[in-house]
Amino acid sequence: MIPQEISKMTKSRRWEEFCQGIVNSKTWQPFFTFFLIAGLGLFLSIPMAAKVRGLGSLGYLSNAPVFFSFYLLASGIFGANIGGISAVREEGWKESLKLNAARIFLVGFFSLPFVLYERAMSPGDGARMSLVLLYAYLVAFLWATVSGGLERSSRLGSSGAFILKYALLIFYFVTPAGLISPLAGSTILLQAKGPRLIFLVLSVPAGLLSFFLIIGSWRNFRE
Amino acid sequence: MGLEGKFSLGRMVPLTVRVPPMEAKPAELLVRQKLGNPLRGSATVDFNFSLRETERNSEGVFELTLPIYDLAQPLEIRLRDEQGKIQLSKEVPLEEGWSQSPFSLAVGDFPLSLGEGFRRLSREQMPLSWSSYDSVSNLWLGRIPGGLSQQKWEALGEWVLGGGVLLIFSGSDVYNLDSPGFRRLSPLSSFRLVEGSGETYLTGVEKDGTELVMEQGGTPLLFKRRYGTGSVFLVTEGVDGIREKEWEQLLETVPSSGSLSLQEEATSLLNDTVVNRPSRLLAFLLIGAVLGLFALIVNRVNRARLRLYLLLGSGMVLILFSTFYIGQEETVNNIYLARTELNMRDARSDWGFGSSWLSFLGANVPGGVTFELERGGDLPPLVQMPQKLKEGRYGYNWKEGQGLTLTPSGLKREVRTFPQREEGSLLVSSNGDEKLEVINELGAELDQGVFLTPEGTYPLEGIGRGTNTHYLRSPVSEREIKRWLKEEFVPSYEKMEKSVPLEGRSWFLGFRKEDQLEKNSGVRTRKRTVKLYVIQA
Repeated sequence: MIPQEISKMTKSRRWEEFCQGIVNSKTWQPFFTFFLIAGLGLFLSIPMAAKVRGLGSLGYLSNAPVFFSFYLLASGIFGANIGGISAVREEGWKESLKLNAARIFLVGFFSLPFVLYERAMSPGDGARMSLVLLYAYLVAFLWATVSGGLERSSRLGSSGAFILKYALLIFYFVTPAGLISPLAGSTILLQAKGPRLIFLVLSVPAGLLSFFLIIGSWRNFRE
Repeated sequence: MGLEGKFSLGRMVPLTVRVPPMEAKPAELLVRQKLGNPLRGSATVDFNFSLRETERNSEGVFELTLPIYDLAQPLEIRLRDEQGKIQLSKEVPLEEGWSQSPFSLAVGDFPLSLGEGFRRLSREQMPLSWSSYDSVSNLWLGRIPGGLSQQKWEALGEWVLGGGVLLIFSGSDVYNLDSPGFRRLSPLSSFRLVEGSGETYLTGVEKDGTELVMEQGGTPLLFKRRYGTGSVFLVTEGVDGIREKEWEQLLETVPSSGSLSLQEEATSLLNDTVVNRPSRLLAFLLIGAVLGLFALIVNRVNRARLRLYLLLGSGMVLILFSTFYIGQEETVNNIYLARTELNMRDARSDWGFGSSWLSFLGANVPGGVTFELERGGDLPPLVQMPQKLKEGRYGYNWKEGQGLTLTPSGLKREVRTFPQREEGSLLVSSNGDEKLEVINELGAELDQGVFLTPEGTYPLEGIGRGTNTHYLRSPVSEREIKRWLKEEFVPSYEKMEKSVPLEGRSWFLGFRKEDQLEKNSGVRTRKRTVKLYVIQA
């Protein structure tokens, strides 16, 4: 066999392994949970009322921020779950980064019909919705990194890491600090409160993600 | 604020402002009303009045009219000069003086105790604009030494045309009141005073449509005449001659109807508007397809590469489905706005009434909603409040505004006195027999029409442009008419059927519905207007 063919086969096998790592019959549940939560958000965001007189009662549920709140929550949970999968599969640092990015791309792509349906319902400015999507993927990547780090930590143990990551996730979502909480952040992005505020909102998960990526890289370098 | 501090919630309320002498030239009055509370959200309604366009009385006092929605917080009034600087500011508390429903108002001297239902107003405080009487159900004019100015009579006259009820005590006090304004409104013409039973009574020639309502010992005591959609009552005796028993009879006789308003009908129209929304079933199927396809492909396809390609392919199909759905425009609207418009004309009495009422509901509007009214438009009272106050900044701009997203036009409320040629008119003539002719020069078709006569009611199908001839067969019952009329026309029909003076007259009621969808910076406004033409045949 000539070296070119060997190289081609190796590449092909690597690609097959990479595809296998993104999602398989053992790791599909986090994706399913994501679609379930985002789907629930989509369903709730459709007004219950058939006539205007009914909009007052359950109207507060029926809007785009509701869908994106569910979408962001789903992203956070998805990130925390795929971080755990990376740890269980004992993926290397670089490999886990690549796979997590691919998993987030896949979940984002497969949930795009929900986003488009939502956009059909409340047309508004598409750019604002794109910003929220970017924000959601940053949140998912942040929690994949945090969760992976916690799950790999030998000091915490698997149950300790599980409890801690979900406690932190809950705190992150319900924190009263407006700019940090993704729920408040998505509302700010949807309302397009001005470029400075949009930058601040996006910089929170981006900053946190950069911080944890640097820590992860440093730990990986030491090991 | 109000009529001697009294006003009715949700109605147009007069606000008189005396601007003190100052170096800078005052240009604008900014009135801010805060609504709601921290728990249910709050909003601000701004009214900007250009002093150049605002009516003022002989003493230089400005009179503004605005609707009051919430009593919890005081009105903030600021005076801005031509340079845009705030020169003065004042807060007006609203907690006192309000009433839930319109009240009886007494102007002038009354020797008898008026009773609890009455509010008093001095002659000097009488407003100059007819819409300032919006809080009044009926107005009693007692002894007024010095009489009323022509401007005040005109305001009263227009208020009555628009549905107000006015009672005037005359007798020996008639010379105080006598003026062109009084003569126009009085049910009697060529009047003179006569003595009888120790009292001085007014007598004269009864105008067309005048009816005698009360007598005292064979002497006419109370006349009534419909004037527009309202009524004028004339007591032939002076207020000093009225005894307690007669007073009680008067209280029982004089109706307490308010101004003609289709505001409730606008609200009903708004509430019955169908909400456009994407199909819940389709959303359910989409969610099911995403979950089902994902679970199926991941669990059934063993080859990882093929699995990923299948996932991406099926995802693309679902994306195309959603994209196709966008083209269907099944979008949820942000603002629902319903408007009733009334154009009324009594050809025989030469008067007309034109007005419109607005009701709106705003939801999920990024950046809030601001209304701008066309210059000189009347402020429409808003019955329907925003769904979530926090989300909206609801303001009115009397002049050119900023950051505006919605401009309802033609919100004037006016009383018209004919003869005056209207732009595009509707003429109705009946030969008293079977033939009815409707000449429609409005430039648009009417959806439905109803012909009301003392003998019965006749439905008229679509009335096109130009001359329409209808032959009236047999009248139909009220129930059948309401069943035949389109759902959105029924509330306005019911209101007008009660409001038009049918005594020996025939009225044509024409209905037209207009639906519009406005898109403005991502805000979708669904507007529904019901136009009602009420013409005396």
